Amino acid sequence: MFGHSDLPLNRDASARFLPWIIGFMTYLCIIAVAAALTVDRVAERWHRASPGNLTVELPFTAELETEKRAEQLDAAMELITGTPGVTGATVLEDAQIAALLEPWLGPDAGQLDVPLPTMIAVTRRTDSAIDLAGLRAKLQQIVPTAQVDDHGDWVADALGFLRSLQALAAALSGLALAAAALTVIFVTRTGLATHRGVIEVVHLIGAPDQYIARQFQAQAMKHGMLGGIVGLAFGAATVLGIGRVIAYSVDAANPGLSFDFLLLPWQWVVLGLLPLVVALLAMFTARRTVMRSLARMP
Amino acid sequence: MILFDGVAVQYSAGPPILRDVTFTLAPGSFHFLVGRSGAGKSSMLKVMYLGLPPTRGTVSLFGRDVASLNRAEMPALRRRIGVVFQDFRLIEHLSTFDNVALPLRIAGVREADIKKHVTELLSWVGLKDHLDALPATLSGGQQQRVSIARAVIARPSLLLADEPTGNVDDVIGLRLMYLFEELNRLGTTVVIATHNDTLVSRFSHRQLRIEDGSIRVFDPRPMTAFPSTPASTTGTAAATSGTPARRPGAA
Repeated sequence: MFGHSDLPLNRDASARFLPWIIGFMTYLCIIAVAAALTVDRVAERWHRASPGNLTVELPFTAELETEKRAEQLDAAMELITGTPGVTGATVLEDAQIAALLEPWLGPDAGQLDVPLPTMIAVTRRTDSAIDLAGLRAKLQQIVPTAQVDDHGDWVADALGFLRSLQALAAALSGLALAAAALTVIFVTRTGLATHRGVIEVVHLIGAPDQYIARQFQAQAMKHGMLGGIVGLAFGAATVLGIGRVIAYSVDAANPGLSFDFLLLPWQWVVLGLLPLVVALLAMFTARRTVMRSLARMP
Repeated sequence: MILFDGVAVQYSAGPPILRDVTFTLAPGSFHFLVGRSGAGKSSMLKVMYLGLPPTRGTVSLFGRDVASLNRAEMPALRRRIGVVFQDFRLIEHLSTFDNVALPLRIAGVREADIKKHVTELLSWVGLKDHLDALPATLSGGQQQRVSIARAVIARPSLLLADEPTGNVDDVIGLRLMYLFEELNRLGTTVVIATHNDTLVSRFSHRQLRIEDGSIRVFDPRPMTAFPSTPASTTGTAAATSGTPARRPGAA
């Protein structure tokens, strides 16, 4: 593929910069794709962790006696468990509520002399919908200040945000590849102009356009692979570094909180294939540019 | 083999170089293309090797009207034509060997065969010690021989040579002429543009004479030697045809 060449393409000044430019574009592409893959993992994890559960909150009312509050809780539990689509409901212990509040109130959240609301974790069937408005209205007849929090709405919003981040990363990858392709077009056209005399001779000797195009595409493929591998090396180092820095920062801020930003093996394979994609893009771009340009020559 | 019918060549707004040129070259013929400098010899060769479309008229090569050829059909036709350019047009970054090997590589010949044929031919033209030399390191005569070797290496059906002996001494010049005659004997149609009268008179092949943009065909050989061939015609429309007879004792 990279054998004999009748055109001294590797001596062109413009071509000498091509591997570096392609390397830089590949680097940007690797970062963007890695970001998209990481976001994908996070989104998947959130999606799995929140299969549409609900939380019912019954605020603490100091005026009510303990017995009255227990009656309200029993009535609420009866209503919730009897609602179509609900598969179970559990009243959270104070320790569990304190753990949920810990990020905001600190490790001593459970020791604070603060009245905690009653929280009910509700699980529901995934194949049918719950009449949330009806449930909320009936609950408020039992406890006027009762709140129903649908995790699905929050997760949907969060997933929407993550998907837009992915779209942004995909757009950046596309831009980087487009920039690489434009550079290849520029270098190829410059090469065609520089070697016009040789190309004319080779044509007159009987070379078809494909013969000349093969030499340009082989050169572009070689530069694409070279630049792609350099871009991959730097990109992989950056992705690994960023992953570790984020993991360290999160761990320092929230000890024990697992927040894995490292890519999975198959995601590394995807990144590893990017230099090949870039090289193929460079090759086909060069070929198309040469064939179109030669078609305009006499 | 070659048919020109009412061909005219004119560069932009300049005067016409060729006017209403009509002739036929039979397969296997050998012609000198003669005329003073600037008469249009190179332009006529350019039209023949498909390097310049005629301004007017019909050019037919190997039975194909070149105006009807599409771009994809041109390379195959060009591979049947060997061209010795006046300015050699060697590829500067390629060695002598690679320059001569170029037509074979384009034709897809195996490297082992390329090495054998190219080495043999370069030995024949006296350049076996310069296989790896770049054109810039060769003398004008050596470059000319490389150019000739490149033109003949693929055994073309038609050989067009523009002043092929202009930069070589008489001995080498004769050797090259014998090479052309040998190719001609093997069936190649040869057209050599030259203003070397000594060369033309020494090899009594038919002549296409360009004068004032028109062609006259002149045959220096005795009529009896070519019973089926018109000896010469005059005016702007001339023709030669038939298989040429051999010059007695030709090498």
